[in-house]
Amino acid sequence: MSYAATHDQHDDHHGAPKSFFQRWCMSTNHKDIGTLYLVFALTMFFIGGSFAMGIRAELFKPGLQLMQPYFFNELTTMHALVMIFGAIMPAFVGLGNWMIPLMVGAPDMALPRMNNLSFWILPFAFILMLSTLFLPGGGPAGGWTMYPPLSLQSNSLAYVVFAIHLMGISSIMGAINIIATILNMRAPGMDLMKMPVFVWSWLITAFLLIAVMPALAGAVTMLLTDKYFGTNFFNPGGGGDPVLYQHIFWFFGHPEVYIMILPAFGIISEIVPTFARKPIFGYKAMVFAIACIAFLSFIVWAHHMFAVGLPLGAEIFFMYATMLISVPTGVKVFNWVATMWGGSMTFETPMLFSIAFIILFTIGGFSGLMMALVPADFQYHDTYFIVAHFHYVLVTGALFAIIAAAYYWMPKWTGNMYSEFWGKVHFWNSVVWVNVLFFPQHFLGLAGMPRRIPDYNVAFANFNMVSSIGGFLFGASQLIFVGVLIHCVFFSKKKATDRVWEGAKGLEWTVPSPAPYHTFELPPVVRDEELAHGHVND
Amino acid sequence: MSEHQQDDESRKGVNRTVKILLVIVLVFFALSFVQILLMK
Repeated sequence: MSYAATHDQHDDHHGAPKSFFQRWCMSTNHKDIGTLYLVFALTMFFIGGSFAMGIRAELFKPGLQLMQPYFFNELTTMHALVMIFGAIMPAFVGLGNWMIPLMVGAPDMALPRMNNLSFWILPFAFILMLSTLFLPGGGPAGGWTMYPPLSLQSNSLAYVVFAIHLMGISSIMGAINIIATILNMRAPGMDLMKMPVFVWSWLITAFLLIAVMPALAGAVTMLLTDKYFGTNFFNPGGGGDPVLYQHIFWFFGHPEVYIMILPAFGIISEIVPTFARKPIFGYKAMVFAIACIAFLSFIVWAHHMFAVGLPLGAEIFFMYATMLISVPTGVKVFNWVATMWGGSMTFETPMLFSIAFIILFTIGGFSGLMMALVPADFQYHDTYFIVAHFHYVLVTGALFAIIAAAYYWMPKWTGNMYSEFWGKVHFWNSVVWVNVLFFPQHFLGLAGMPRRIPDYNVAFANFNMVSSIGGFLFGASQLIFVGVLIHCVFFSKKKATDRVWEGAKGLEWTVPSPAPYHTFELPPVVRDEELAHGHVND
Repeated sequence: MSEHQQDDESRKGVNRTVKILLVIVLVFFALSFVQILLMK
């Protein structure tokens, strides 16, 4: 049973604090902390994006053009770490912070002060990690997976391990907060099976985080003790095994992939019904599919390691387990399509990004299925095919969903409508250039171009040049997004209505736009017909 | 149920949830080390 959310000890009866420091540094308000997360994620997105521009500039032509190979390796490593831990994950946490209490009818998160701490750890962790680029020995350059023995050669290992510990602590606290909020603070009448799919996706994601972040912490702690305290966890010379690191890392790493995509599934499941003006097709199936994907994510980790020489039985098990994930994922894709089928659809910017998500994420899913096949993976392993695959999943998947969510909820956050024209300009530029950027990388990979190299055979020159042009223009297109955001927050004259979108349903649309500083101080009366799925029995 | 009773119930629920989740965190942290023993 859920209990009504309650008054916490903080400044419930007042508006936002006047002082900048009080409001943003000491905040316990879920909306302000959500905003902080989102601004932080956007900043990191551009820092990680600038690394990507450096990578694509170097790869524009064969031969070493702009940088030394070690610096190139630092860029690939930092690009991944910043985008995964600094941009995608905090963006989802920001969206969760903003929307989960509004969607379940709670006045705030269950642990508001811990929420503040979860956020404020992050900037320090990333300053620490990015500062290693300026150290005499340079930053980490062994790839974001930090496989030993290569990663143990880095002089900045201790800094990066500490930064990862901090990010892990932040993620675990954030996950605990989200689970405690969803399980304990729902308004009366908001049963679990009436919750919006976005809330469900975050509940399941939070459990994934709680299970796997400690495993990452364990793995990097062992790296640290191997380098500085004379242990031999991963050192064959002392009886250890470097492949063991890969097992522990990917026990974290594969669920991590789903941590970055399940909330995206939730977002798409909110947006598609709104703009199709129909309840989502197969609500229960959608929820169970998310849970099923989450479960399967724990038993597929070794598909990242087919090439290290696993026993045949293990390769076959992990191959079939991986292919099994396409079943619940297929359920989701078909249900989104079925939701649109026969709906009164309109194509506002959030819907456009959602439709692009469904199509392009499916391409990423299919290439994933290809590399799940052990014999085929021996060809694809460590090639640009892999790079193309995971960028389809994470850029046109996770990032497009985050952008869709920002357009969808921005009027609720700011009280102003964004410019639909410029939103669409942003969309069409993004969707064209992202394909110019990543699609040729499939061909490069199939032709044998390895990942993580600053120079390559001249045979790969043309597709690399096309990919780089796509990369520069995709990067530039994101500046339009910043323009739309700034215009919407500060200059837009068009005020948003409370419901914002004609087909929008759920508690978050019953509060005024912009959402007041405090909402649902008294638990709302939940009426089933107000909910997106409350009156649907399937 | 008065507002204060709701307060207490909700807070107790939060505390219980947090304790359970912390135990899960510790178990999985330990598990990453135990894997080594299992693999040997």
